[in-house]
Amino acid sequence: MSTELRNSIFYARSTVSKYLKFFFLEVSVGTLLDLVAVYAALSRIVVVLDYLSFILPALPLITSMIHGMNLGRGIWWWIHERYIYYLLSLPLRARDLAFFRTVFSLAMEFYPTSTPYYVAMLIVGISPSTILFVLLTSSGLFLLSSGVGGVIASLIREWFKIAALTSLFQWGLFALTPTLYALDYLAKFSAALHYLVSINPLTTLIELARHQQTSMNLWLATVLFMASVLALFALSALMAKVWRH
Amino acid sequence: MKAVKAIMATYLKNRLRIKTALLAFWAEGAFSSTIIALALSFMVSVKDYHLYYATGVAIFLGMSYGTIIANELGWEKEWELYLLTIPTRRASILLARITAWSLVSLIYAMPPLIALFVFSGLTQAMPAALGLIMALVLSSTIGIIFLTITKIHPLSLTALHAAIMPLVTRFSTATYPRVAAPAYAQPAITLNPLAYIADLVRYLQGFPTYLLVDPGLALTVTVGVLLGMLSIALHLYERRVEGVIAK
Repeated sequence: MSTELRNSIFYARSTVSKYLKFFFLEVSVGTLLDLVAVYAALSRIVVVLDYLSFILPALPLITSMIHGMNLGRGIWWWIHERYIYYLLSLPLRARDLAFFRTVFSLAMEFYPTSTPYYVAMLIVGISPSTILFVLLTSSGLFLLSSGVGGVIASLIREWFKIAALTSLFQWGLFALTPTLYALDYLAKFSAALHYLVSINPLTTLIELARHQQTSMNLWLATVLFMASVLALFALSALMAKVWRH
Repeated sequence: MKAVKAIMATYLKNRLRIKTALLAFWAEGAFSSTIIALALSFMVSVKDYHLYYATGVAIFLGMSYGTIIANELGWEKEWELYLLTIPTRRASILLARITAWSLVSLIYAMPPLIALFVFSGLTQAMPAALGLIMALVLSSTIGIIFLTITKIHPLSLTALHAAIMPLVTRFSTATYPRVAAPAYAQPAITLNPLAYIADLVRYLQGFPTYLLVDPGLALTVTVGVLLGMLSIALHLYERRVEGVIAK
């Protein structure tokens, strides 16, 4: 392994672990309590379907987009606090730094904080093939949204613009995917919204996750994951190019 | 009084000066709350659940903004930005902060929820606004107590908030009625003051009483807890946070 690659991996890991304890505590406690209190209670008043089995496969997919985008936009602080100039002065490759930062965050932040979802899926009796599908797809979505967030944060100078843009993207996407509600019930108050949600690509993934998994679906999830890794690599190269300028 | 007004004006101006962020925040809130609340209301057995949900969002936002006050105080200590030179009582400064943040929270949180209140009558927004302010007072006073426990260390304060506040918000009746809560959650809900605030607000909105705790009890607990917590917070702020009492 070259010195540059080793340095890139070392610094990528160090930037993730710095904030890990707070992030892990807040998100894990929140996730766990959402499951045992809020969603458990909602499942008792949602009368039209088994609510926990309905939302559990969808939640990791949508939270992966939200956490990924948050991680990506954190790059702005590197630039704002001029930490990026220090990093760029070191013998490392900026592209690898951006790439491995996301990979480490996936392994050290996203997987631990989404573990309660997978444990709950096992408890309510969701099949292991569905869990594998959700794991692969949400990992891919995390990498992709982190890359997109990183590029946005590298290109835009004002934090409020970045925060507004990424928040709109995150929460708009959250609202326009049938994560907490069933698509059929949306049609009861707006046909236009129903159409908008049904053409959202994430809706397709969520609907696939909710149904019986076939080997075709698992292949699709694997291809999506691999494509996301490649996309992150390309987006990291773009980020590095912007940083150098 | 002039100093208090100046502090309030500063907070309001600082928070509302970026119009783009405010508009984006409104759009985001309106979009996510409205779609999810209306779709969910067709699926649950609680009548007017969109109103229940919208009020819950307002209460959650009040809790969330309340934590900012203690966080700001923590970081001001870290950066040595004290307000000791202002010739006014420390308690007035804290009350000015809480009042300013209540106004900011109302401006931030309520417009996005209007679309939901339109479905059930705009007058229903008033109790929700009251719920937001009461949640903000509760959360900010809890924050001042945490600040004292952590000896005004901002990172420890963040950790304490991260550990405790999810318990307070999730084991409350902000998003689900008391009767729907699982048996293991019932004791935590009974001990949680936020659940009484949420139930009192829903009573004012006209939700059926079988979903709520006794309104008299809710009112007594809410008033008692808020006054008690505010007194403790003001005392701690004067003695422990700012440190010097103005004559």
